[in-house]
Amino acid sequence: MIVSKPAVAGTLESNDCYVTVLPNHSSGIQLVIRSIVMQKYGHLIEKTIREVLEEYQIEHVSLTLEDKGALDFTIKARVKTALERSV
Amino acid sequence: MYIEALDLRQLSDYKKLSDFLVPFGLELDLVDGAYVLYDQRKWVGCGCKYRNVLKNFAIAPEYQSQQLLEPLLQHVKEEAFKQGYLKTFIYTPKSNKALFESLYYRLIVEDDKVCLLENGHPSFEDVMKSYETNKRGVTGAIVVNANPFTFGHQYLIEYASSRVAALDVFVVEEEASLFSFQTRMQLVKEGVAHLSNVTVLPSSEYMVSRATFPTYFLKDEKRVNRHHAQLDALLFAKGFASSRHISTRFFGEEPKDITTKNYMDICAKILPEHGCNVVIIPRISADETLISATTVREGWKRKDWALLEKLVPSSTLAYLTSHEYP
Repeated sequence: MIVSKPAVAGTLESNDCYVTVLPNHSSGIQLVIRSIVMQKYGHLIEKTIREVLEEYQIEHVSLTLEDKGALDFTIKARVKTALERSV
Repeated sequence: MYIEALDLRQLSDYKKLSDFLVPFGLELDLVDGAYVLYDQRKWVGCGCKYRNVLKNFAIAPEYQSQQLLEPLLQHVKEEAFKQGYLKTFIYTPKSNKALFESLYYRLIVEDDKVCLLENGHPSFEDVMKSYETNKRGVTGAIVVNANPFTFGHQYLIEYASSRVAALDVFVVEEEASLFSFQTRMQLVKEGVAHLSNVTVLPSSEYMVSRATFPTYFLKDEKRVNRHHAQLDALLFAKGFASSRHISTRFFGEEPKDITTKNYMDICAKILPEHGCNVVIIPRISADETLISATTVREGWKRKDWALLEKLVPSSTLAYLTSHEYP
């Protein structure tokens, strides 16, 4: 899949996250993760995002995730929704 | 609870919004979107925007514990996003800084009372990185709107460029002028082509823009906010001056426009505190006429070519003679 326009999904309420995806045509996967639990769970959040990107076969995207303590299924759902909206 | 856009063309709604803001010490100025948070049919909170600047967020005291800022802020931010703004700014008193930071707005600059925060792409750091350059010896900078480029601008730039090893000329990118940014930029480039140590650059939205310096564009001297000018000066010192190793900023003396004069006074105070000198260069006249872009625009309107010849270089004149006054 190709991310062809900017899209967002989610909220910044507790236990949720806010995902922004932007097209980028040649710079690979660029992730920015901001989280209140970055030190402890940052690597797991990144792993979850990368799994979704792999599932959608995305090679180029700029993705920002602002986290308010979302669980992994929430993160997956928000990332998927943002991607579906970016087509 | 729900959020709804207000129709700002309805005078009664505009009045209601304006009244709602009064107890919060907020004054309704330029907005292009206003959103109200309702509980049943009661106004509980509001948030406004002008382009990508979010402003006038207020929540009624009896509802303030309910974390209602988050949905309101996200709503307004997404409205801006739908209009194509990938980045939004918030200009707010320092007492609200932590609140917006908890919603991932990041501080770019602050003075003693107010701060400017942003969220989105590209970030202040990314933009400043794109301006980075090697040291080029003593470097100066000058910021022009050049609406349009005159002999006055040319003189200022020639003077400044003769006093430094390298000179950066920043052209204000904000589209708030008779001449488009693209045209202003092109005429500046043509007008300084003979100076080998001059680089012409776009200002970005971090220099004299509607985001960093909103009251500059209201053209009402009483409204020019000292804090806006201070933040703009600090952004220059912190961002541009450090990315481009600028040690002197030149200004053209401003005899008429009070807004610009106040801005210069504030820069003259703040920039030296951050290691950047300020030099103010006196203006030149053509015969008895003070050269100013305002005089040029008036002359263009009247098609007074004899006057324009004395005020603008041939590159600008060529543009004026080949285009109609809009």
